[in-house]
Amino acid sequence: MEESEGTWVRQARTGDQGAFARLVEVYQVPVFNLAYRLLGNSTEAEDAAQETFIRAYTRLSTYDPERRFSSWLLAITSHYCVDMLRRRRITYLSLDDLPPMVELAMPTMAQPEHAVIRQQDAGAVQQLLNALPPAYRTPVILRYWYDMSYQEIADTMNVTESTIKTRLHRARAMMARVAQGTGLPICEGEIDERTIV
Amino acid sequence: MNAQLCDQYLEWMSLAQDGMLNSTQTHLLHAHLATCPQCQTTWEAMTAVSHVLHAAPMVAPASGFVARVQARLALREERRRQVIVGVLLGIGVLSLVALALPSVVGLLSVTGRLVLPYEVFAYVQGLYNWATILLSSLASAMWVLACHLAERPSIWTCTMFAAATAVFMLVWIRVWLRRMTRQEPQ
Repeated sequence: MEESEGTWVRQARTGDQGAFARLVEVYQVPVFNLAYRLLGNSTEAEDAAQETFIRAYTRLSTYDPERRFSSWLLAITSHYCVDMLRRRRITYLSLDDLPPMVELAMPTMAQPEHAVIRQQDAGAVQQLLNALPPAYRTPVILRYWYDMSYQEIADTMNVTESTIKTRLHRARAMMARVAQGTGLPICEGEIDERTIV
Repeated sequence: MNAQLCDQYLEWMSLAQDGMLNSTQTHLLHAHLATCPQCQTTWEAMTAVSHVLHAAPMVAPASGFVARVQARLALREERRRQVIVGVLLGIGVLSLVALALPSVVGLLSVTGRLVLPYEVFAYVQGLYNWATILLSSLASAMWVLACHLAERPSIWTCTMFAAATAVFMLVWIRVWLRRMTRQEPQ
């Protein structure tokens, strides 16, 4: 995979649009997901994901092959989306403005209700992310959806590892406050202790 | 509880979510959580939030994404090509006009005398003289400014002149780009 990716990148650099199309095929989901999670809107995410690939194509000559291609691509997506959010002059939701949040830890329930809850749950995820400033959203998304280490996130965002630690800690504290402020019911039995090592 | 201590444990709670605490730190964190209800509530909320985020799936774009990117790329390349052609065409047209202007003016001046009534010809000639004076005055002013900059170069004058030139060029490029964009297929 890595080898073919390297070949595709080299071919795309020489103007081979077929090779570039293969890169788009492979990375469309990670790029779109990051854009969607950052912007919270599928139309804008589609536009941002397309723009990411266009920018990647036109800036392929600046890509350093020593770096992971996925990190480079996600960095372009993140910068573009954060710029969009700043341009949008997003107003962060105050805790009082938020509608009641769906239960995060869900009890077992009948099948038709599952779909509804899943939809509500997706809304809850975006609510949590929307409560964060743009610079804090990217590390959270890269940590939870891409399973990146602190160092990988730092490399992608071009900041230090300690900055990432601070941003993640503040982001988690903010999201916890949002969850508490909206009367989030937490089922004690559902809390998984595996996260404590 | 000590607020500073709670802040320290808040940071540890985040690290614990990623499994980044050693066993001693984990033990200390749990000991603190057992005695601090406020931190315990925060810890529970943080853990619940982590569960929700971990469980959320990757979102994929609608099918046909690759084709849409390729279409957009083709459009962008076409737009770039049109802009380059437009700029080159603009420069070419300006050069041609500059080259042809003296002969056209001379020809019109000769034929105008014969074809046009005297008053109309005099009026056109007046307009031409006025435009020539205006343009030559502008050219002289530019020349004087250039000489001044060359003889007594000062960083401020040079910067002001460069800024004025940049603004003029940007306005000109913007007008051209707008013109080219309007002609593009949507």
